[in-house]
Amino acid sequence: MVMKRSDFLKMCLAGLAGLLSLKGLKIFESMGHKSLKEARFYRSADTLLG
Amino acid sequence: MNKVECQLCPRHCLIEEGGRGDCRVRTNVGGKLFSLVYGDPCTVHVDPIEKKPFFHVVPGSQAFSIATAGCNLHCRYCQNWQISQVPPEETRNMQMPPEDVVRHAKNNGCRSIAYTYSDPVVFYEYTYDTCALAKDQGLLNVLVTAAYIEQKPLRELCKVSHAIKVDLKGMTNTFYQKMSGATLQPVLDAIVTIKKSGVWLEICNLVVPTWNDSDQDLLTLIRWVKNNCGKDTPLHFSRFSPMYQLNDLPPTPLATLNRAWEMAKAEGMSFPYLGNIPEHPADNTYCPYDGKLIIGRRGYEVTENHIKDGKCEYCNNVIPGIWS
Repeated sequence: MVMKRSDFLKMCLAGLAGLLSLKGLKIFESMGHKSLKEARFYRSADTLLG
Repeated sequence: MNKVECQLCPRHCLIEEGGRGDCRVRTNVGGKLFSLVYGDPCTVHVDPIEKKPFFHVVPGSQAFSIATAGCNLHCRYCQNWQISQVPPEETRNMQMPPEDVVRHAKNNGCRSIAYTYSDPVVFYEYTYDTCALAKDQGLLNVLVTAAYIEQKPLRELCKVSHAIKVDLKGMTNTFYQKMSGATLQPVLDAIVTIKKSGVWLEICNLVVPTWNDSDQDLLTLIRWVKNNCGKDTPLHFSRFSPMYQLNDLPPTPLATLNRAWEMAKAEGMSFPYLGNIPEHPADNTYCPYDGKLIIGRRGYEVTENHIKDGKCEYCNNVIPGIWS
């Protein structure tokens, strides 16, 4: 079946978004990085003013 | 959205989703910050502790030395730039969780674990967990760092550390900005915190021709260390060699280093040393009370040791350090 170009692009974008998601974290791990360790000293930028 | 602010070092990197901090080893995934190098050292070696240098910490012993990729400074003379100025994808990394580090250190007859080469600040969580485990099992934790770290994480790290050697690179903000892309005051604050914590402190200054080698530079540093850390703080002046982005400069002249050594002694510093100069008398430790040679060194090798139960064998005065 021939895929429309727009559908193909959407699929690529979805794949890229997947890499950035927590599911993507598992793919990242399989690329040679073991489980990432959560850092101790940080905060969400959502709590920052301005 | 989902940005995080890292609070480990004074850079306070604001990291977007999928991005990394300036150090290259901390990343934002789903609005949480993660270390990319926990348990993944790229350099593991057994070194004489004198190499770090620590001259007042279990002399003649071996330090199991580890480092990961990354660094939160970008010093133009970095001798470990191949690991400090690259992300972990560009280094060959081992899997060595904290318990394995401790086990290997013991199996190799090491008295201490050294967190070194790049900077333990950037592999903080790995450093901290390994330190805690090692301390419980009777090993010493010795850190080699530029001390570009925020106060809260530093205070926590001091609780599980035994000795810290800080590279105090210069005494002006301009120097820190131009040489290392950092700032001076957080380093000075960190040194004071380390001193107050009771962790053993040694300080090293790399003397770079035309950058920080004037009499004024050296005197300012010596006096600051004496006034803020005490005259008994070991102070190492180290010889620069052309390196990385500073290949056009000559090595530090011996006369400059001799001058630094003499100035430190004249200012009343008890334990000034010179580094990277073969077979110089400033390699040795002299008792500040009777002037006798109490620890002899040739390179990284300890040739004689006249400290017994933490005291000069000759006059019986206490010599500060960690001797066992």
